[in-house]
Amino acid sequence: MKSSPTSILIVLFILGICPAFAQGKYFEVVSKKSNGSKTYNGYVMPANGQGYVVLSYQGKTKEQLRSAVFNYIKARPSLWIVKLSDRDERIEYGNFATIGDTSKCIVNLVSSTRVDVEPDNGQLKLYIGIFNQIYSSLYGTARFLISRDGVVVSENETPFNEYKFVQPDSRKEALAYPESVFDTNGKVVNPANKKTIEGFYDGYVADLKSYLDKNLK
Amino acid sequence: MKRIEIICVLFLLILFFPAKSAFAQDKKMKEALEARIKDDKEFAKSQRWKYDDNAWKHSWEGAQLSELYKKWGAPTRSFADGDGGQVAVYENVSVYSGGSYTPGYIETAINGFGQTVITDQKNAKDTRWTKVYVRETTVYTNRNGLITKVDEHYK
Repeated sequence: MKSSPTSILIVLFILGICPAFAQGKYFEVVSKKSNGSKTYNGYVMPANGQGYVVLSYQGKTKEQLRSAVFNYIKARPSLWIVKLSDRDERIEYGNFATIGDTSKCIVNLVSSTRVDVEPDNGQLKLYIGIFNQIYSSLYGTARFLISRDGVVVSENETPFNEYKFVQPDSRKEALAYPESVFDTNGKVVNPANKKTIEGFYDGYVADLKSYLDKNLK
Repeated sequence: MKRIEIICVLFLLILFFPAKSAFAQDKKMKEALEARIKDDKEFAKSQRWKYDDNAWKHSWEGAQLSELYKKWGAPTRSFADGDGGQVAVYENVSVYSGGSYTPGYIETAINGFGQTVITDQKNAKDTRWTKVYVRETTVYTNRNGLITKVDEHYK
């Protein structure tokens, strides 16, 4: 087949727009107007349209799955239990990790992540995103600490802030937020960071799944 | 105008305009970054305050309540938690006030007919305000008198 300039342009166009519509395996970063609001906000939501991600383990009881999740947390030194609900029906664990540095995300992005797991007979429901907080700093040298209450600080008070998924309203201000995924109209302007953030949160599910697949015989 | 002059003018215009626009863009970017860094600095500061405040609260956990009494004195009130432990509450009242009071006035004069007329008047202006904040620190202990938690609220 001969390649005409038009067909090359079409292919380039498709390749160009693909990252903007791509989504993570389990999670996607979306922009939405909250009720009654005129402005867009960004969220990390399960890609399946439900409020949670489901991992199926047919034949496994709720108790087996709960115990396996506890073992998983024990096996990962970077995870800690944040909260257990009454009778351990739900287990919430936390993690504090880097999403990407200045070479990957233009700025330094770190996430204080909360994963809420609800074991049931034959399946686990994973809630993620509600209490997560991403922080960003323009400074490549920024180092962060988290307290046991979840308060994040930077060493030597290096300037940082809560990550803005959506650029500020004013066009001038928006210039200083190249790491934002969306512009003020909710349009994707940074597909690379969208993909990086989705991949980062997908990693939590993938890691738990991989552990359970190996250890739940 | 000669053709060569027109070409030169056009060339300079082409050269000058993008440079001017790039300069304006750089200026805008610089201002936007400065504004962001200012916000980010304030946020980092406020987070540090929260962090230190929490660290201070946690530093008392595990200590004897009697040690806290030695340092802070008697609490405003204390009561049993019903499970063998104690709850001690310290209240610290702060009063803030500001503003000022400027009295009003009426200026009068006698006109040519012997009548009193108002020539100028101004109402009194009162911008005085007072705010009372109560910082309530609640200290929880277990049945062994060891501090398990310190909470702080503003009322």
